[in-house]
Amino acid sequence: MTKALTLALSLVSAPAWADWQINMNEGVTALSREIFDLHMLIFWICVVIGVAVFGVMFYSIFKFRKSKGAVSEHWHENTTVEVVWTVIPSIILIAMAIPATATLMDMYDTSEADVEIQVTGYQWKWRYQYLDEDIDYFSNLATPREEIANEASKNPNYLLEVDNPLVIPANKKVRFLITSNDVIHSWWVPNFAVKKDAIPGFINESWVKVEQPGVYRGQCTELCGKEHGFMPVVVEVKAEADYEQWVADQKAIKLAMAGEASKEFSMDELIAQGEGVYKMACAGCHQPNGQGIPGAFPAITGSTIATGEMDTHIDIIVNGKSGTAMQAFKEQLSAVDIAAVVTYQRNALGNSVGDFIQPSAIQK
Amino acid sequence: MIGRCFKALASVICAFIGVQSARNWRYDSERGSATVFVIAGILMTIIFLAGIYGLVQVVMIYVQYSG
Repeated sequence: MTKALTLALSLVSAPAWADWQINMNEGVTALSREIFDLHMLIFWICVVIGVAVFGVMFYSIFKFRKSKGAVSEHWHENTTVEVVWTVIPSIILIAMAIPATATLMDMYDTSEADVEIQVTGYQWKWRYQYLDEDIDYFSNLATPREEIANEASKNPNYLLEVDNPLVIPANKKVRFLITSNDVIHSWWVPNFAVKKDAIPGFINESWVKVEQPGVYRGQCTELCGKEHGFMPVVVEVKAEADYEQWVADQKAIKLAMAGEASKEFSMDELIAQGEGVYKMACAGCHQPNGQGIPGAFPAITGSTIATGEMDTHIDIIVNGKSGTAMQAFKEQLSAVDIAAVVTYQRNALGNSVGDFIQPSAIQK
Repeated sequence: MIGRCFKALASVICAFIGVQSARNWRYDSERGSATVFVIAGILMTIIFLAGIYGLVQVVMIYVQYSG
């Protein structure tokens, strides 16, 4: 009895229903609620029309069935009825177009934004550039490879977590300029309602004004290659004061990093840092053990580049190799990261060249 | 002649909304000329497109941005 009651209660509790949600997300912005309301309005209009049309149809089928002696009437046309069933749907469509147009115009109104951020899709990560501040960084998947390979249990935000989330202030209009560096991606946070394609050579605009601080998660929604499911979008909405503090912190970090680049590192320090960089930027294709995937991605272990000339090795990381999946990392990695990952690849993953390079020697 | 043109125009409008009586259809196919219908059709298409364009312009002027 208690078990049955618990089961019954769990069915009506909110989390149980959340799993069974099949309707559109209401979202967390005024615009997303407007879109949701429009969706529900159109939905109920369709329900009423459906009930009326099928009601008349099923009633007629039942009431005038052959077994009751119904005989079909033969006539060719009835202009009045035809005009009525043409005019009424036209009026309904026009009536629906009025709120839909109003909502669309709101969606496209990116004017008078407080913060402007360029969002660029990369295979397979997002880049966020704050156009008014000197802030520019990449947002990479943070889910450990062990969870992806089923070697560890999956956390609740599995494949929906990143190292550097996009940070925006609450109650401010934020305009996004969305584009891509390579193939078509699509930037989507369900709670913000609006989804925009990121297309190379084009800039699509979108905007958001979130009331409540919090973390909102989304995904790339345009199939963009091998790791399409591994480039989530995470947006951290902060209260205005916290956002200002974050901006100040980012600038301080940037200054500190500029200082780092001229520092002298030991080989061990570089290898230790390089391991993290490798897992984040290289392991997706070249694999965590450096073996690559034969026929698709070359191995780092025993590679002629990673065990050959230092300059060639650095060049392929900095500039990529055109015509292959090897992209240029000069925008994505700092001089320290590049020096670290080069040193790591030459002296780990089964390689033991024995040399290393200082960040100050990296020419980007 | 003018009467026939108006009748052709009325038939084209009927064709636009997809409703026509058998009597008028028979009249048009027996008495009407193809050229008149083609001209009326092109004219109505232009009027229809101009109407849509004008409507959008009016909406763009009168709808205030609320964002």
